[in-house]
Amino acid sequence: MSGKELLNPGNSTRLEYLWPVRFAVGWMYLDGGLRKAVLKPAKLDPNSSSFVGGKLVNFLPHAGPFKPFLLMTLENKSLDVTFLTVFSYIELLVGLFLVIGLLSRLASLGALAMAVGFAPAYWLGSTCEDEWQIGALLTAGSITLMLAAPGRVLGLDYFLYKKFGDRPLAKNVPILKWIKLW
Amino acid sequence: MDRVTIVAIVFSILVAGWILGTGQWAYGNVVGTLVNNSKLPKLQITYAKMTSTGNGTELILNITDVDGPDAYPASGTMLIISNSTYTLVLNSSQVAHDTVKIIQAPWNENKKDSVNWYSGFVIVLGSEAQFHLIIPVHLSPGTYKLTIVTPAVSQSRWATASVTLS
Repeated sequence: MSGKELLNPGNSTRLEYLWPVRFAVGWMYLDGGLRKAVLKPAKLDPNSSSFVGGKLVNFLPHAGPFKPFLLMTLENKSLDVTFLTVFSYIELLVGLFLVIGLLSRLASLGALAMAVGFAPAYWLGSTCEDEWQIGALLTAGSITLMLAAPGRVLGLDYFLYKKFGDRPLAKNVPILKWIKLW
Repeated sequence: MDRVTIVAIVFSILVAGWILGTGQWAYGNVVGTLVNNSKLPKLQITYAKMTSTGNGTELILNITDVDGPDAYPASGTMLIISNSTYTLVLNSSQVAHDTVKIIQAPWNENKKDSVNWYSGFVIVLGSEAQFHLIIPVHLSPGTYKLTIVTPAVSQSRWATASVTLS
């Protein structure tokens, strides 16, 4: 039975329609990474008044179960700087890959991890429920993209899928075999 | 039920659970009273010690800000030291003048807690610092109530603590 015959005509959505979501989620991370790592590197300089490590301090009061990890990071300056630098470059790569549709399912998993990892800041929102709304939408968007493989249309994953088919992170390793690259 | 449907249901439940659970945790927006801890600042005195010195009274205070917006620090514009028979009020410039040392908590980052003449105590959300004040007044031994006044918030949210001068 061919793939076409399996589709229910009333329940099939063209992947082209997911491009706005792919771009939006991707750009949120690409913009965040670019601002810190490229456009204003002082944000990653612990000696600068712009250092983003100061933001982690703001998360502390209602960070719940994440508080011990935050305190450990903040009290260890080199860990703090390393964590924020690595996080920023992952943001940048995940965002870029989603925008161009390269390794889009793996990039979506990265986006999901960051959206969930952002939870200690969810309580911050002096005018509305700012950070929680951002985190919730990025979580839902990342999962949608991770399941749908959106880079196979209007993205570079089109070529990867055409040449290699469906590829997991590792073929014979539990859990990793379910994480698809594109 | 096919595999796609099962995967979709599982992830839908996870996403819905995450959104409702974190929304309830952060803002109480599913059941019960709505909360928003980042609207108004709330200073807390976590430690207080008062001793007599040759040139007045030394007051050591650990102050932190546990609620409020992250964009701007909280201010404690007045320090009130009182008991049933006596009240001493230090305004913001007196707080700034009498503070002789500030020790930052090890987790404070580039934004430091401070004092200045127009805001008094300046406390960044989530940070904590120990303020050493030499108040040029010889207070009598006894127990005093300390109150730090934060402008534009109700009195019930002002930071208070009890301290004994022996």
